[in-house]
Amino acid sequence: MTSTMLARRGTGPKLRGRAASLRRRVLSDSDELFRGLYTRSNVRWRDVLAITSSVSGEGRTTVSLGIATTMAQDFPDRRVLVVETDLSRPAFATDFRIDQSPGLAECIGAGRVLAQSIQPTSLRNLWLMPAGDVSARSERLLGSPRLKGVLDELRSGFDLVVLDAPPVISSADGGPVAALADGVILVVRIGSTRVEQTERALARIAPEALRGVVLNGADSSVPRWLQRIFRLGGPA
Amino acid sequence: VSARLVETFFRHWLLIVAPIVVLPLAAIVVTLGTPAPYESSAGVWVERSTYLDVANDASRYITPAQSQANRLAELLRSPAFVSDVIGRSGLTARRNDSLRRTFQDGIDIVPVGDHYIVLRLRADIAEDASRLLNATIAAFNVRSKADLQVQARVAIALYQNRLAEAQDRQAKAGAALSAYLAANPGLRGSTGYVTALGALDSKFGDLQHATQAAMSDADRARALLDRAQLDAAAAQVGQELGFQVTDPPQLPTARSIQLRKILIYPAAGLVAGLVGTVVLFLLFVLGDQAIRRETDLPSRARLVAVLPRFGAAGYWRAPGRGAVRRAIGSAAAGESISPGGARP
Repeated sequence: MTSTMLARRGTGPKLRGRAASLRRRVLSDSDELFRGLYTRSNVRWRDVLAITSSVSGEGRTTVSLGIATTMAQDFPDRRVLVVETDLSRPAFATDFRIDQSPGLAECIGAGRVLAQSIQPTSLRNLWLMPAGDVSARSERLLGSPRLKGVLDELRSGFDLVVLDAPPVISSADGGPVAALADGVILVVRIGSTRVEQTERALARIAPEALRGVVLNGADSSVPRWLQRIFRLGGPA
Repeated sequence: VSARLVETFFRHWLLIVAPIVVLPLAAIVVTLGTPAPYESSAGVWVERSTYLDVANDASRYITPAQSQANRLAELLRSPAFVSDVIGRSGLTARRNDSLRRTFQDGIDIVPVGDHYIVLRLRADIAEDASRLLNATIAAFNVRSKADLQVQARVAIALYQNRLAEAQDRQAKAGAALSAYLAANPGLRGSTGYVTALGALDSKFGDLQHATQAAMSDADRARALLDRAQLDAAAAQVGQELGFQVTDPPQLPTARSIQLRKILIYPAAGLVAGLVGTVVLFLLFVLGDQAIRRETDLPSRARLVAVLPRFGAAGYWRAPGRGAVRRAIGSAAAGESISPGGARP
């Protein structure tokens, strides 16, 4: 069996110094935020929820993992899966030191058994499916009608499937993947994503599927005393 | 709008403030880093050209000092005049370009009072300053003399013409008077004096007046001609009073303190920095098309969460790419949760 990220993390060297400090601070801040996020997004069990954005680098994977981890922790009896569907920029394997393959690409293209592509985590009710071997034909894979079959199969096996989806503007795969999901959350990077890009992204998402927009990366450089004077809204 | 401006300023405050700090500092560094030049000065007493009232000065309200200072300033724009000065200075021709730049940047011509001009010349080499200034004065003096001579020739020719015309008129008037007297002998007695009859003859009176006026014109033209000839002679021997060097240029022994430069350059840098700051700020404000807050979202977008920039505050460096993502993903590996999962 492929060793999982979390098994390795659990048995491997612990995070130290800045990385450990960052982890503590992020986790202390993020639980309530993601709890509020999935509540307001009307996430329902048996949903396939796509987390997408206009372009790359807006925080799709962060939001995907945040929602999935928080829901898995809040509902220990529910089975949650995170699927990495951005085949052009896979990150799970390097970020979490898991095997890249088999993954979604093999499920769609090579007809591999789904169970072999799903990797457990140290949370008993949370699983990951990496992008798989994306060396060839990756762009065409997500346009394959077999993707719908894979998602239907995943939907039947998990209470919640979170798709870490490609961006809808900068990737041709973003639209088709979002169209297959029951709900779509659009991540917008504050200070980076332009209004025009967001409008174009929204135009490519079915209105009935859109669960909401997440503004990511809120920060203010204004001193707090000036924020009070000008009534500037800080991060929510 | 004010909130957006404030946010934009603090988001880019380092860049926005940079010009207003960097440019004056750069100006100060350049000013202090550049060695002060040597300055030579001279004082010249000048007079207005006297031959023709309309020769140079269109306005009578311009003082001779202003007039000559303007003239010298204009001459210094002439490459031929500058070449003449450099040639007179005896400095090596291989530094011709730098000497020309010295003229462009380093000379001041300041009228002080109505007749006194102060000339200052700054150069990197003390000898250059004094020799160039001496050469400038000499070239200008020669040029003035030459102009004076030209004007004198013109004036002499003019006054000669006037004298000739006056003398001609005088001769004609005298002839007419003599002819009238010959035709009317009763107008003058045996002693040659005008008789009572002559005093009552109006034509005789007119002829007399015309003759006297022609004589006066001739006398005046002769006087002006004499003066022009005298001035021309004075100019030729270099003794004219129109251009006297009262304080000749000295060889400077120490570098001059450029107080004006020390003040003006940083001030100019400050002004340029202010302009740069304002321009940068406007560019940041106008060029910011990014979504910053909920109100920037399109109307159909329903906001469900605002996530902060995790872990940024309190760190000198922002977290690396994927660091926050990995931190959130690692939540599933928290120590309180039993490790080890199973395949579904």
